[in-house]
Amino acid sequence: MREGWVFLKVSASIHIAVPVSAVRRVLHREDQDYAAYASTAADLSRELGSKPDPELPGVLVLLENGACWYVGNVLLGESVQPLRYESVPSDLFDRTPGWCRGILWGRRGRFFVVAPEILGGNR
Amino acid sequence: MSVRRFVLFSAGGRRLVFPVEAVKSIRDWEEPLPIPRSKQWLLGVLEGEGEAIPVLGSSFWGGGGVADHMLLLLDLSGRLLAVAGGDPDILPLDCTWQEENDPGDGLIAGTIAVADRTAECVRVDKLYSALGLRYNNTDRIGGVDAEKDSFSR
Repeated sequence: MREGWVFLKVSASIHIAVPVSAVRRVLHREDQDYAAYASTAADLSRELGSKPDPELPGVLVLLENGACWYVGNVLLGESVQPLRYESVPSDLFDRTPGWCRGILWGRRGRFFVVAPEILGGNR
Repeated sequence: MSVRRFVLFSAGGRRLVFPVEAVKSIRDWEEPLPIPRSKQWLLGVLEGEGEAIPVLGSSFWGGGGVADHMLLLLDLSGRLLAVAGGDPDILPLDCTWQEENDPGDGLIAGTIAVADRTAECVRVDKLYSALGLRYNNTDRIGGVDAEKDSFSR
């Protein structure tokens, strides 16, 4: 079965893709339980050595493995198609396995395919 | 007697020589995609054919020199590596390099005089090892024989 993706804008320069099957919920600021999760969320822009983009609304992504990420925004899948997947060898990272397993290349963006178990305090 | 050919390429202010068998292509510059939290030498990656191609930043060679404006694509047993730099040239030379006394990692096999200037002969297999890049050292898929590159004797 073909895996679908959830596309996340971590910061202005870092966009990531997570398998749909790894995501439980996406919470926006106006959602009632946003504040409850926000205090425990891992800020992915900091985890990846980037700066949070204050222009972005800020959303929380709850994962099936229990992790909670804070990212800039969620992108709509249809706006980034078509994409071509390529693997990223793990020997390009000091820590293995690396946080990025591959890249989805598209005409309108490049997305790091994330290993959900690596980022956000679930190592 | 066969004449061996080499590719001269400048990176990080140094003049480097690679065996032509290890060079897949020389490309115009394209901006690599930086990967956060990756190895220090990695400038970024390029779109490849199933696997992203790592780009070796010129700071690995010490920095300096002219700005990177070309990419030298190496192929060692099917594993690709792009070297950022510029000013490529292809040289038909006989093998009269001055062998080094292996100062440490053995990355430089020796030096060679090119147009009254010295260039350093890079051992491609040692370069991959220094970067921690895995390759199949028993294969010979294009590129250089991984067990014995062209500067080995």
